[in-house]
Amino acid sequence: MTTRRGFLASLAAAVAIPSVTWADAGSPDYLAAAREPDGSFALYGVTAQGQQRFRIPLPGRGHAGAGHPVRPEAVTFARRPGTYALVIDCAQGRVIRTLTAPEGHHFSGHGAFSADGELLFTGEVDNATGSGWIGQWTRAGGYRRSGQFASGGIGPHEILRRPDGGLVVANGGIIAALDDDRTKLNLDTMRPNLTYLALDGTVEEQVELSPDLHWNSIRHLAAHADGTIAFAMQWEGAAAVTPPLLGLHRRGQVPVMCNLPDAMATRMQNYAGSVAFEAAGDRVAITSPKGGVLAIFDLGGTFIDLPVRADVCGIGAAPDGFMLTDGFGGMARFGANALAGVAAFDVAWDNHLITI
Amino acid sequence: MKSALSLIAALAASPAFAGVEEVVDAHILPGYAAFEASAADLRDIAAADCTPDAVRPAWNDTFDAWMAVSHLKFGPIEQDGASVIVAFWPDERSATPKALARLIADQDPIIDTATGTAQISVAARGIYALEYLLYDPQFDQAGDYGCALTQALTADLATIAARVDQDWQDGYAETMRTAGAAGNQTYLSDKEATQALFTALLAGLDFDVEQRLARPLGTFDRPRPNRAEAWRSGRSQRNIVLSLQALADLARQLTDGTAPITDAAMTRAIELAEGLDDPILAGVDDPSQRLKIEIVQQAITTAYDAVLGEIGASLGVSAGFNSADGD
Repeated sequence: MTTRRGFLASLAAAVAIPSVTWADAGSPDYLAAAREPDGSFALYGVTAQGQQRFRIPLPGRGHAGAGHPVRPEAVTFARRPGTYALVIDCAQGRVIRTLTAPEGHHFSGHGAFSADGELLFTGEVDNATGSGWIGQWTRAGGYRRSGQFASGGIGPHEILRRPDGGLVVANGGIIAALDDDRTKLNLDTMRPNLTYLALDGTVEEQVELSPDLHWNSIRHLAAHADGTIAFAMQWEGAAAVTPPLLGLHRRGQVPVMCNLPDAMATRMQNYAGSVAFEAAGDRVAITSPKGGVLAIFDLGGTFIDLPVRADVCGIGAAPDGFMLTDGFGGMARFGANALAGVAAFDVAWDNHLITI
Repeated sequence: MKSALSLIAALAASPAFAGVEEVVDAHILPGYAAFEASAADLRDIAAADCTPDAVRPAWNDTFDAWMAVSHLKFGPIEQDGASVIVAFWPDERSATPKALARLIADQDPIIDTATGTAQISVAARGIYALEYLLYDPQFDQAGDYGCALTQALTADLATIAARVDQDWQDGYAETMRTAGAAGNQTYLSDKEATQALFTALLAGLDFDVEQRLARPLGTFDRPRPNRAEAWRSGRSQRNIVLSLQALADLARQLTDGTAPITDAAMTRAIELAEGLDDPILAGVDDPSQRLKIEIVQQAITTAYDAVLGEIGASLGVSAGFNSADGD
């Protein structure tokens, strides 16, 4: 859908950045980090047909990242609790900048560009308190730090640019110790939220779940062109409870929670690893690598299907549905009503698939 | 000549995908066929005489048969949540007795048809719901409705078992055998089928450690014998032994007997579990008996580590990259 604002933004981007585009990096449809058979790590650019367009070695395991809206530049974040992020020129295949989290912060693992690509926003967590921050970096200055503002909650994880240009943040609510086990310190009192922020940090709207769902850590996000935000959750409460793991929120409304049928609810292992809307159409899906399934719903929150795919986690929009990656190297597509294989790579795909 | 050919065949078959054929033919298909047959017998016997004394032997046979396949959590058994319907356990909120009591109190006619029974709460269906009806004093006086419910649930179970057995024979066995072939949309590479079996083996051992044993063990200060699996029917220890035997068979078929460390660890775990002499794990609150139960748990953990190290390395597979890890 072309909105006036979206049209103006793309026009501005086209005027400002005429030279190098994603076409110069082979026009990948997706970016994904992976572990190679020899144990090293790399960032891949792949097409919706499963063809590799580039492969750039990474110094360590990545988490998620963000693709520049126009230029063939990607930011990948270090494995949590990471303090560095790499800006990669995907056309030249090299790291062009290393971003370091400010003293006392670590990166949450996710970031987002502004619509014109001039600003990069990074999810950050205060090491001492767990409170969330959004770091702002200016591309024109060589990705220099140019500001920060509060994320609106504790333990932010994914941040996302909305179709209207603002940001939305999944404040997961968890204070995690910086030890190897990432011990969770505040499960009794955790209160995750979804926060809508203007680019200057103004809080535009905040959404909390009902008290019985306060253990449902909001962690991953996707945006529909109509502005609906899908948020995926991970349950920290009693194992006997199988709460909804996906919510759909429209501005000013109470979120719609997406429930699985009883017999299938336990299959998710109370864990959603990633979320996406399909490109055209009205379906949304969450993945559960722990359960080896993805759960598909319509925009009204009605359950559609629970396809099985071992260790599936990465998910992105595909032309006719969803593209999926898993830890065993598979790329698969869920089209109208069934999974179909796309390609088998000899790698372990990491958590997230980034749609360009 | 024959030996030369088999040598070529052996070289051509990389160890990464050995064993799938053997597991399908010698472990999975016979397992589901036996489950289907015993569930059909259970249905027929309950239809003829629904009293607990008459139904219990066939129910136990069916549970035994289920234990030989319960670890295979992929393929047809996962369609429509069938594995949860067949085996709704653990049931931490006692949803099963509550749902059964509600049906009985309401004399709900929904169970009069198979399609109706298929719509009741999953907690009130399957093997564990039948255990309550057949063994728990709460349901002694369920009368004609209790009888009809036993018949409906055994018929429902038989229908699911038949469907799963048929789906394996009609297509899914071939899907596994042809992993990685062009057009196979379920297993994109030959390694993926091996991976599915390896994952089932690990998850089965983990279920014995973390559910069947850890739940009744609780903590030293607060053991929880009533959280043992199927204690009403006296099957807690038996199920652990049967589960381990099934998993040992899976490991042997998967590796063609070439995993001696795993084999020894599994054999030891089975011997220790058989030697418990504690059908319902009541000894969790007796210090000396509790130690024996903990030793079984440790032996299964040792077997898990052996599978991960020995079989994982030789087959070139591992636990999931993403599933073993948080976001």
